[in-house]
Amino acid sequence: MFEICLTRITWLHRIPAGVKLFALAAAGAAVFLTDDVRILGGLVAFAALLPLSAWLPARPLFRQIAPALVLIAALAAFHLVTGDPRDAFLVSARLGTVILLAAALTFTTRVSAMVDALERVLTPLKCIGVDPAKAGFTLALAIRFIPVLFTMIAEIREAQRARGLEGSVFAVVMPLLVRTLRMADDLAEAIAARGYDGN
Amino acid sequence: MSVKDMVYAALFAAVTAALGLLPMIPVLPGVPITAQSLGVMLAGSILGAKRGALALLVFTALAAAGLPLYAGGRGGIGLFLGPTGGYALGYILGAFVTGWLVERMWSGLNTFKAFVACIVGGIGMVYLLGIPWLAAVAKISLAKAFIGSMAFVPGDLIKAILAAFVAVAIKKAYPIIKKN
Amino acid sequence: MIEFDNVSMRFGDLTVLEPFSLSLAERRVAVIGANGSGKSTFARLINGLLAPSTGTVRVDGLCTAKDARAVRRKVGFVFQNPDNQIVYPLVEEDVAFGLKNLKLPKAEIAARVDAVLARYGMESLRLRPAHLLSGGQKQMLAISAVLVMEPAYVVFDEPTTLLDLRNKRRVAAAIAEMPQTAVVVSHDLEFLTDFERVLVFEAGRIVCDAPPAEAVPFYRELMAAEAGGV
Repeated sequence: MFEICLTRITWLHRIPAGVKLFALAAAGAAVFLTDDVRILGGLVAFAALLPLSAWLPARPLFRQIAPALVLIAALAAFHLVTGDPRDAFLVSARLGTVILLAAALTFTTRVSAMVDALERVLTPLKCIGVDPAKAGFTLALAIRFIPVLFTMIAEIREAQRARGLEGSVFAVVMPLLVRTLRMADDLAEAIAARGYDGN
Repeated sequence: MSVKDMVYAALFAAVTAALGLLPMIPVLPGVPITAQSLGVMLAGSILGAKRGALALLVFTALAAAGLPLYAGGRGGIGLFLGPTGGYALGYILGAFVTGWLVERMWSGLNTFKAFVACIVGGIGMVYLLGIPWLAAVAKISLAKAFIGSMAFVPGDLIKAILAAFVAVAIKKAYPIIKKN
Repeated sequence: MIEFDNVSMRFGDLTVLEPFSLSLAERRVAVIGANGSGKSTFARLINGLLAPSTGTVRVDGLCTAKDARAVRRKVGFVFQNPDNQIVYPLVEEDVAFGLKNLKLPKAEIAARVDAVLARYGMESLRLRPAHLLSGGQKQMLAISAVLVMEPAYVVFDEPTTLLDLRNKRRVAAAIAEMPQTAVVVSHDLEFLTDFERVLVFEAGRIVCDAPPAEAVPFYRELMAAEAGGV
């Protein structure tokens, strides 16, 4: 689940994560700062051509953006029905641009590269007490334990099904949390044992 | 930030992701719900304001980085720039406020008080940011955005009841907030 | 040399270890006892994960309470459940974690990671996400991640309890051949025959301190007597 981007290396993969992140942020701001139909039309066309130009795999890309497209279509339909085709275009062009560019970023950047970029973005915040190294470490810990928790919840659901408790969310959540809290104690101990003291 | 803060934040981010896999019985037909927003209430009411908000911040940051953590396998930074971005930020604020209220009521915490904290934080704060954002981005009126969002509230109320029972049970078995 | 001087351990009202004094100079020491007998607490005292309620614990003269940092460099610790001690998502990142904490230069970290993965036959797994490893591979990763820090002592807390027989043997073999001094808490009595010294814990006391030929039968009789008494 963590390497959805690495089917084939394209020119988009080679751009550093920080640059892509910055470009996306700039585009995200730009689409909401203009009401000009021509500019927005140009931006959405560019955003649609970008994944095509890199020959990103169409099917997984579409699966990624499909829920957002449904929402955009519903919003556009709403504005058309209420008799405002210009708003219908503005909303769908803005959201379409952002969602296509974001999907292109997600598809061509490793999660670890994004975490590194995030760590660098946070560096200026050192003066207000944010520690980028700790933030990066916390994100890495979460990436490590997400699949562990996925496995844990599957195990607990199976066990509860065997006991006829399959409909009960409580019967899954309680053991999940007790095991997680115990795991937190063990993990904190293991981190200390390997010489990490937060500096 | 201590090692324990980081560990709790990371593990509850993972719990919130895992809860996205847990389907719940739909209250209204056609409105699919999962246990995911339960993660907001549980992180706040079990870990407290600071650690709870950190957990949801970690969850949100990883989803933004592209991990498919939201229910239904959604993720990627587009979620935050699109119409649902306010809800994503509301998750962080919601965990903080739930935790803050539970900390205030800690010594006499019962299921009802925990339920109130979960409603104010885990539902109120999420919609407080989510609805205006949706209205602004989608260019619809606040009233319409509000009505559209209400379809999810019955499910959220059930989650708040569940979270309240769990929070009180965990307080007895494994209290975190006052321990440190 | 690990020295316990008049050490006891209490959590609130609960006494976990009665006062005892002891020194360990052997290369292979095993610790056995029923669950709740105090053996895991004993293990955690050695590298300063826990500080004693009374008395002092010294490792090569360093006090575990006062020089915790130096003691942790000297004493590695392998836990029972590898899933709760693998910290980073990828195998090579996790092995490098302890070395980064030692603030070693990058080139040396890379060289040491290469060496330890080669030694335990895990080169092909270096970019594998840890959650995709088998239980045995995870425990070997956890052991590699501790040994790569080159501690002088390694404490193992039930390293084989969660493993199948084949992987129990693999881990036992890795422990047997490593150059470090090892203190191993275990329920797997068959792997302790080559150990020099065995401590048997019972209700917070050391009830037997002898070579395995004597201590293992003693422990079996103790367990049988308790089962008969119930």
